[in-house]
Amino acid sequence: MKLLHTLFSINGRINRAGWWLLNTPIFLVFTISLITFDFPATEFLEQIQLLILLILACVHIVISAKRWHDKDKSAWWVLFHVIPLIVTVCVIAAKVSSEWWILIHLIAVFNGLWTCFELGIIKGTEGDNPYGPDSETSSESIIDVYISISGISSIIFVFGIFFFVFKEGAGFLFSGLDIWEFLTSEEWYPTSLNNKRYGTFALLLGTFSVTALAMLIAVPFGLGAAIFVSEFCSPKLKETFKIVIEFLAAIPSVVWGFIGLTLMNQLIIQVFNAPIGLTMLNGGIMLALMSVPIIVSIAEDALKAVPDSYREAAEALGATRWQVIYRVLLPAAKNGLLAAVLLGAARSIGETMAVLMATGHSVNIPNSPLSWIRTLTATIAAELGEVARGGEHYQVLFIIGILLFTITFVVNLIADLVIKGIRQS
Amino acid sequence: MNSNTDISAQTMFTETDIGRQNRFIENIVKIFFLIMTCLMILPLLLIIGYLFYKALPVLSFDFLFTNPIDNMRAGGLWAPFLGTIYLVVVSLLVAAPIGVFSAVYLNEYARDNWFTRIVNLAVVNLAGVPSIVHALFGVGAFVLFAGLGESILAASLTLAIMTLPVIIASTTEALKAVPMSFREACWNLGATRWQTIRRIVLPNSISGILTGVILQVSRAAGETAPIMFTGAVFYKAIAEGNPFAYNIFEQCMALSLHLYTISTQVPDVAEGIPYGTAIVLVGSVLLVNAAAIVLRVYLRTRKRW
Repeated sequence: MKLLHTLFSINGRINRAGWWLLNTPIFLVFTISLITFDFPATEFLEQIQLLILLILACVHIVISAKRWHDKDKSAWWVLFHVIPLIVTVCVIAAKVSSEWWILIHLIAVFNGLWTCFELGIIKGTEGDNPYGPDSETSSESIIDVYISISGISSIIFVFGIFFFVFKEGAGFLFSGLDIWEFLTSEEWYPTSLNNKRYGTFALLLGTFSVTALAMLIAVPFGLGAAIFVSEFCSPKLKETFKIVIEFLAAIPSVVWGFIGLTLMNQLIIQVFNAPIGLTMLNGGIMLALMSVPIIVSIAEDALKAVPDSYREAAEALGATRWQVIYRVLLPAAKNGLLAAVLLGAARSIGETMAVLMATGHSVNIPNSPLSWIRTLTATIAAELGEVARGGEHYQVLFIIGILLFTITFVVNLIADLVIKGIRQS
Repeated sequence: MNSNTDISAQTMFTETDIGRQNRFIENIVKIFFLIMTCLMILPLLLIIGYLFYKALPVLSFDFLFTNPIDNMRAGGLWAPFLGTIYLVVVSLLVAAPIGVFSAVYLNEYARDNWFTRIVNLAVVNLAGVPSIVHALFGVGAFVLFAGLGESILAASLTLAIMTLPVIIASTTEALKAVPMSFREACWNLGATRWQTIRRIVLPNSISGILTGVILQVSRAAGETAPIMFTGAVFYKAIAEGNPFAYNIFEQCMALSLHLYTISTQVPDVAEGIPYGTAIVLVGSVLLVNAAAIVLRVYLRTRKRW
């Protein structure tokens, strides 16, 4: 409510800093929307842009009115610079004949300069005035606006992601796509001329099998490393290990894919005597290496969260370190460890470049770790560049995106609830 | 493993069989976990060593400052390298203020209620959204809806939203580390909430905030999927040696996409070049990370509480 009061109520005062803080971005947005006027945009977009500009104009007027209050003048003074502005905009929009061009622009420039000088540079009255006390003139309310908007931006972005991905795929999702076939058929022939099939079962299976394999490798190592770092390490060694884990987490996924393509490929060919090394095993190892840092850091946090008194009590009873870990720590931290595994799995499911490059990328129901597979993410990455915008195939790729979003959303939600569960108990 | 509660008083201080056995088990366990940890660290060294060894023939000063030539089969990395810098800088300019303010909101403004919980959940989920879904979002929102087309701006905005949780997470950590008593002291002197944040909280947590910002840089530099369809192209010729060669409303090359292209899409690339690209990419990302770590360690030593 305070936010709305700041932005849309002319009551109160504001100082020069506040006026600039709010108006600079507004000016910027107006300038940018003038520059980007030529960009190909839909009619719907133009309406939204117009709406946003209108709201911003209102905010500008409100804030200027408050600034006049600060100078102990009536808010009606706003009209002195708003009316010329409106006239200018109308005249420009109406494309009046060119003799008036210079005069109109001169008025606009003079009006802008005068506004900036009058409202942005000249100080308000000292102390309280009829429009509000001096203490209210600080620009803090404007900063609060920015901080609040940033704070809720994550929500906006999450909804935005869902909305835009959904928007692109919705047409085909509700008319034409057989959802049952989409989820259970293993026939993925999106480019076939007369027999198009959009079955993602093989892709789903590919994603889940490679994730399962990755977790099979990563979970023991990740938890083992977390236990070692949290329970056996000296502080200095701990710091070193943490840095190494941070480095491991920082290696870009395309580099992991490249390693899979070159080093791991040759290794698998030689060790398993396989014809080609770009297999589920290859992708699984790459994903394991990528998700291990997440598992280690979250599992270590979970172990650290177990109170020291538990350890002391167990050791006082004569338990060895291993018994402490096995009987006390693991049960006490099991929720956090579960969350670590879930988040590691979510990372694996969402990973794109590494699996695109390392798993062979061929639609196939896997029957062994040495068979090649294809995942949901890799399919989008490989095919989105080649499809016609708006076509069925294009929309199906966005529907796969919705599927991926939903899967990771659910996994993350469960992990979050599991972690919250520990904090509350 | 079996219970050792039957150690009696007189044997307490001399080593019994059980005690020896326990110590033995403990050592085994310790070594086992140590090996597991080392098996994680080994690949890191191995991979960097391998890439470096293979890339050695092509690595030179010129490699970084010449354009790829001959359909990307030879030449250097100038265009992709500069493109990555553009993408990172623009995404940083967008993500850093929003991320820091967002964390300030969550830590200093938000009350502990359901709404804050939803915001936190949104941050967690934003971090968990797959990178390729971010790419789809970028295509839908920035390239098509906002009409930016495939451009550096569209790709950077996608990257910014993707890396936002990195900054939010580290900034929140940093803000939490500032003792509550600092704020209380400030409030008691009559400072407002923003004055407290501006004068006390932010200066005392600047190291953590910078770490987050640096980690965002490293994350953004390495990402491939989100920029593939929003602004990065396989090939674009630009002037060598001119750091302003790109226009943010046009497409650019990027190191990560370049590595993908030359290792999978282009046949007969000169042997060392993909390795050189990989080591430049890994090297820059790890250098940036190392900078974050050094900063963190340095500032921790000067911590005043």
